[in-house]
Amino acid sequence: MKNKFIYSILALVFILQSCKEEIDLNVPGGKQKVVIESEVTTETDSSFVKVTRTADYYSTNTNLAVTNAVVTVNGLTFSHTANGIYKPAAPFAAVAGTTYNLNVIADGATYTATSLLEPMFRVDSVFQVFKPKEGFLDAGYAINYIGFDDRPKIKYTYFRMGYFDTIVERDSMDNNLILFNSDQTPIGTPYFFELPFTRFQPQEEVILIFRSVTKEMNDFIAAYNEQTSGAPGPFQVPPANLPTNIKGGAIGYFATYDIIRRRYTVK
Amino acid sequence: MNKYLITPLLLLLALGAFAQKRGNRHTVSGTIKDARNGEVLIGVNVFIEELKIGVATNTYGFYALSVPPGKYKVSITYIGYLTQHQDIDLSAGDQKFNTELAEDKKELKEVVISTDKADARNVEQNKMSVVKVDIKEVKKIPLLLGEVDIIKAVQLLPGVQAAGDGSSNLIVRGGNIDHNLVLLDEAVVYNPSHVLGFFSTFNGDAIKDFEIYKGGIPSQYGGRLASVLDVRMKDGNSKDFNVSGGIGVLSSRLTVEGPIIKNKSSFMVSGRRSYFDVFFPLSDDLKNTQAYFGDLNVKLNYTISDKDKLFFSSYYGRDKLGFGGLFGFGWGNLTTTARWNHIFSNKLFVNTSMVYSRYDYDLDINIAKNLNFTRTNFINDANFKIDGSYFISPKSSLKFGTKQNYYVFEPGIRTPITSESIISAATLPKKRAFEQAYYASHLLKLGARTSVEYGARISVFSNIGDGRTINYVGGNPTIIDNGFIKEGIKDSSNMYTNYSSGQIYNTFIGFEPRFNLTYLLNANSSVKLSYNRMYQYMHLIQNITAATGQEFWTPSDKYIKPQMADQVAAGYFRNFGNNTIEASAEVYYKQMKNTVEIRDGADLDFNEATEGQVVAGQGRAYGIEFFVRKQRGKTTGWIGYTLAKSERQADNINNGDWYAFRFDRRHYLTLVVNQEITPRVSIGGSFIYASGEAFTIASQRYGLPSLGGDKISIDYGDRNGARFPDYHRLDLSLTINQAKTEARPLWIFKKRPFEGSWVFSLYNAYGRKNAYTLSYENNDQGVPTVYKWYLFTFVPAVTYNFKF
Repeated sequence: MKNKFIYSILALVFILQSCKEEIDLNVPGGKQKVVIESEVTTETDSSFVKVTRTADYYSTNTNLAVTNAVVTVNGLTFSHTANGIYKPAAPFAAVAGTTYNLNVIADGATYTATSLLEPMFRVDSVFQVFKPKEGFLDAGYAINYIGFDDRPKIKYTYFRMGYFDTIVERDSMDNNLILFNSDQTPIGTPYFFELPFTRFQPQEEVILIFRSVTKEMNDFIAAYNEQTSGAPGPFQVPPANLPTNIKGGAIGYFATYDIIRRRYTVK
Repeated sequence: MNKYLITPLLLLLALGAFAQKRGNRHTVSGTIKDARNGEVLIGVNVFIEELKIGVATNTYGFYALSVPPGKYKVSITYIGYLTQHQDIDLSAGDQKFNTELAEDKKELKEVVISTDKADARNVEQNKMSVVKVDIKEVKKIPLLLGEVDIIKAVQLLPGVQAAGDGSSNLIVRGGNIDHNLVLLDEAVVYNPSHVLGFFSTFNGDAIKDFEIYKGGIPSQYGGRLASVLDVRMKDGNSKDFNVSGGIGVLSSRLTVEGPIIKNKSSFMVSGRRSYFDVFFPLSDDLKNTQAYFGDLNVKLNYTISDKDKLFFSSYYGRDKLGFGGLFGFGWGNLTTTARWNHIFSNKLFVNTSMVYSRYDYDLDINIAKNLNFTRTNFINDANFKIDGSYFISPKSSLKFGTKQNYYVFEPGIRTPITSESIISAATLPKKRAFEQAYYASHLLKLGARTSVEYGARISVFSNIGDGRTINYVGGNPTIIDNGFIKEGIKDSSNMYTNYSSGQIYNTFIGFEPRFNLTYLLNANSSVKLSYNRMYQYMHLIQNITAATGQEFWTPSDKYIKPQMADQVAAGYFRNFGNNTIEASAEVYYKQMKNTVEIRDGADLDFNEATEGQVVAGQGRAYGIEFFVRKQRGKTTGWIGYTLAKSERQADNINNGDWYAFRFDRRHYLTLVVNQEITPRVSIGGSFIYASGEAFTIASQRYGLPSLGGDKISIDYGDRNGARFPDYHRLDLSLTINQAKTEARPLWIFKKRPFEGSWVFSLYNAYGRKNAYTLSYENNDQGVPTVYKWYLFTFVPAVTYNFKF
């Protein structure tokens, strides 16, 4: 329920009222950096570390993968598969409540990061409720879940929802993306939560993915969304580099997720 | 607290002692009004020919001149009004002389070549860096959608610019948006904008007078670093009922004014409302959308006697934006001022005011029956102030006063809309503060050429309970983690320090010297020098450009120190053509400390830990401003040019190096012209050229496909290290006044004079696509591209104004 979500909608209104055109801006090249995108999750075979490099803004160079890095997570070696992606050789599933340490040696430098894998709350069931047309939302079925959270401190959830998903095709999962934290939901009491700003039609298959994240990762995703939302104009925050929990000068993130997936077919 | 009172009282006493009556003098004093409507006139020059001395009326139209006994010829002059000459006999004792000035219709025909002293004010007055624009001139300037807007007019002056295309926020001499004190009848207007900042809160029909101080700020003003925009509401016609108004593209307005008791009491009510939302029901997509603004100005005054006058004025403005019933937000200002003017003697004028300002915003989220809440945030500002003027002699006068201010900040109240909502109710703790200010200044004329005004303001700001502060590990509300500024770690063993009701727990004292010097080189030219120190104890926390109402004010406290600025300015002032053309060149240097910089990635959403989202910085700004203005004749207008630089620095931002302030513009040129073609037809134009504002350019790009697919992420270079393309814009207007007629505009009126006029305007006449912002995106072919976003091109508007 962050304000930036509101701003995104306002930005939509702004976009309707404003225009854009391509400009020939001289973007001076800067120092190339290592980019590490890494996730360790409780789902078997979904953990990976991707090591690439930055490029000059207008560069057409697509060969940015670092293929000869040495990557370990809590001492477990992740080996290069393709395109700079490193995975464990044997089936691997992380465990909630464990602290994980990432170590990457690339281009002669060492990069490290640490993250606690926070446990998720319970998602007991999913159901649908018909909604008439509301503003810019067409009539259709809103998706609700019944949750139960007994974690004592504020915890953060990174939620994505889409029409379909496979572990391989993660990129299809950007239909809806929300960050929320547990200070807005009841503790120790079952509750139902309507997933906002979406409507589905009968026979459509909905995938819900809930991921627990650390506050650090929550803030990173928030900053990432802000930077990449394309929300222009009056609602744009000042440009800023993304924070990172990776030490040593690399860009990117090291995330640890406890994941719950629910598949639901709208009746 | 007593120790805080001693110093200012001593200062006042010292000045009071100095102000003892010198020699045998008699005083002429009174009030100057507009003959047409009885409004008091501000800044009228009252001049004694024989002694070559004069004084200007204060903001309540009052003046006093103490001179040796004798008979004198007094002239009363004011731009746009016929000069009056009056014989005054001060042989036997003091005299009261109240008068009314009639409008000078001839001057429009460029017949009058005047050498009136009033016209030499640019050169003679002991003020610099202050500009006053006649509200009648503002109405001739072509503006966005034809809305008469004093803030947009002010942005055409040198040293002042808009915070982005179309914005009502002011950037004055390199200051921040919140460094400007915006006053309406002495009450602070915390958010002077409507419609995301594209229009200001000031309804031109309700405004009598305004001026902006960019430097040399007198000691009666305080609390902001960069400028004071002092706006005065009309008192209301005390002679006759008047109705005036306008029907425009965006909004319409109506003003009714008239006497309650003729020549003793009058009223003014002026309202305005936008109506673009009226058309929303015609669209299925927009029928549940709310988008409007409205405001209401009310003023009453009552003359009890020659010595006492009461005023009451109030402003209420509201904006609302709502989308599909799913969410919406609104904000509004309320100001109320009650004033009592009392003339203790013909030398001592005192104004006592009780002032209340409130600014609030609300945010409604109503996504579902079980997922909804309302969040509100407000600031209450109540103050009591006394301002006195003591006219010792034409060469010596004192100003003194005090202001006692109580603030309550409500950072956030979250309330579920329905009982089923899973969003819990929550309230962030209130913050309270008390601010005292004492000031005194002495204006002294030394010989025929030199005027000096020196004084000081002492401000005392305290946080008051009940309240609490968060305790951080190591006492640091922010930390550096892996090179990034982050919120500090709260001390979980001792999270809060609580303060009981009325307990003072932080106090800051600011000594603010002020100085102005004018040296007349000859009758047509002078040099001036000024210095002011300003403290600011209230800070606007805002992380986006728009005035959406989501920004909030917070007080100085244990962690956020008061901002402070020193400014020195020097200028050369010259009038030409018998004072028909005013010119000036001013240089200034300003240094700012403890500026509030929002850290990257700040979490400002319902977060008590405001101090964890900001860091203290410093700033410097310097430049030279040229201004040439013609206020008389068929051709009026001005040219302004500013060459300036403004920078900021803060630890751990931009590697600690100085960087350009976002609204740093090296060149800023404005041209405003109004040309009368016939007595009924005039054309107007304004042109702005400005160097592009600073922005932070990309250094490298990369992708994080697991999070965002093929979206581009940016690794940025130096903060504000690049420039937008230059900004320029031409606006045009055509005004056609209808012939004055006798008519019965409404059945309640008898036949009466009716005036109407059509104003046609074209904003951004040649359709320049000025960059509002930039974005980095892949184009349709997936190639990294930079896009320029722009707002207003070719915006035509028509407004019909009437008065009867």
